[in-house]
Amino acid sequence: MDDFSISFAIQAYFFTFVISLGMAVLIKLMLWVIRRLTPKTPQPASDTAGE
Amino acid sequence: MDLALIFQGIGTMFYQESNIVIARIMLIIIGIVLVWLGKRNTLEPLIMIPMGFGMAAVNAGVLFMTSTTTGTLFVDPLVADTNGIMDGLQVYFLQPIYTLTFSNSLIACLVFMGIGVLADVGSLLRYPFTSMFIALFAELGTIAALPIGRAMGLSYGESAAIAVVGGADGPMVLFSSMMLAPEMFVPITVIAYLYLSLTYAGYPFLIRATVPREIRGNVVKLTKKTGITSGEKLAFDVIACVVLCLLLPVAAPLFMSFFLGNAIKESGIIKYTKMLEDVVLYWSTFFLGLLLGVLCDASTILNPKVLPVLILGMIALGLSGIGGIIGGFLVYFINNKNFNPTIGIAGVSCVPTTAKIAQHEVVKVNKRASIIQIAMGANLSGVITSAIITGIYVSMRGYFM
Repeated sequence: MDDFSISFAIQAYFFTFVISLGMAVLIKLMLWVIRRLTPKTPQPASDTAGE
Repeated sequence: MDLALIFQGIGTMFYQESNIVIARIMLIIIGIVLVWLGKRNTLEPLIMIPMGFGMAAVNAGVLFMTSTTTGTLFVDPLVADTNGIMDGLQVYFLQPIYTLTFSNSLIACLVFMGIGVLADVGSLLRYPFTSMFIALFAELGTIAALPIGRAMGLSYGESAAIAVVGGADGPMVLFSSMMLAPEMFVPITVIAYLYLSLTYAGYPFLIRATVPREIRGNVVKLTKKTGITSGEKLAFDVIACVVLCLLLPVAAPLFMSFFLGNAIKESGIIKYTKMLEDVVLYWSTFFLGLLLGVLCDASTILNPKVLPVLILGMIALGLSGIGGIIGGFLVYFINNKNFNPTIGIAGVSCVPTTAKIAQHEVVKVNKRASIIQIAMGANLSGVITSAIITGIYVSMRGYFM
């Protein structure tokens, strides 16, 4: 095995690792932002309330 | 009357070299066997039946093109110049589909759109770190096969293209082999699809050999998570597509196809969803299988590089499976044994086959254990990590080509 191909594969894996875990962080961040910005819908009042 | 000129399929066998004739007969038999194995569901029937048919027919239907050359009327994959393509479109009946969908990887993108429609990113959004972590380990074969391929005497492009087999994603292999090793794309893609079909048969043994029975039946106690809405899934599709296209534009067609398919499903456009699921996916899978079979003529198989491709593809897929299981075990220990390492195999991105295999093997031990939800998350993460590695390999080709 030549050293260049090994270092090339390691670099490719490193980039994949960073991007993939970055995607996971992005997902968490995106869900947090969406849930913060989405107004909470009030629970619909029961039709039989007050009866 | 020369019978060889009337019944040319047989007649050409008396004029061709003996190794070509033997390869033709072998490929006809293999084609028939593939159809049979597809019918029995031992191999994936959607690909194997058209592929086996194509393989058998193209090797049987050889005729004299001129007084000294033989050929078929199916397709000419080597034609590249404009005049040759125009001639080919009028002669070879599958040439229009090959030229307009294969040589530009459109067919891979169409299959990817279909996979996007079938995929549910909800489980990935619920467990992003676990899913991505497992998927990263399940890329072991995709990474390790590159230097191994070099050691076997293959070029960087060929090694990288075959290494992508470790990602277990057919369209991705087609895309990468077209980009990195166009002269070898036929054997690489055919072997990849054969191996991907064999994951049905091989991975259950790998699971049984590496995950002890008492752990295999583990029920994963899921923490309560809020549901993922279709709006959140759609937002993820758009954001992930843009980010990945920004990072790796060479793989942008694949990213866009996958996330567009999923976005259409999550948008609730039923007519488009049905079109992609029922028409586009099955149309492209059918012609993918048929063309791969038709491209399997005797001269392709007699290429001396086919044997290393066969060996390296198997190494890549095997190592990825082992890597996935290792990732599963790591999550198992990190989570204080509240995890099922079998899920690791689902990190190999053969959607949804590997997730189904994991669930099947778990249910065999414990009928109440359901791991499919987390397994699908790992499965989809596998698609994304495979696409990222493919994009990186293709982007970095300038360094080695």
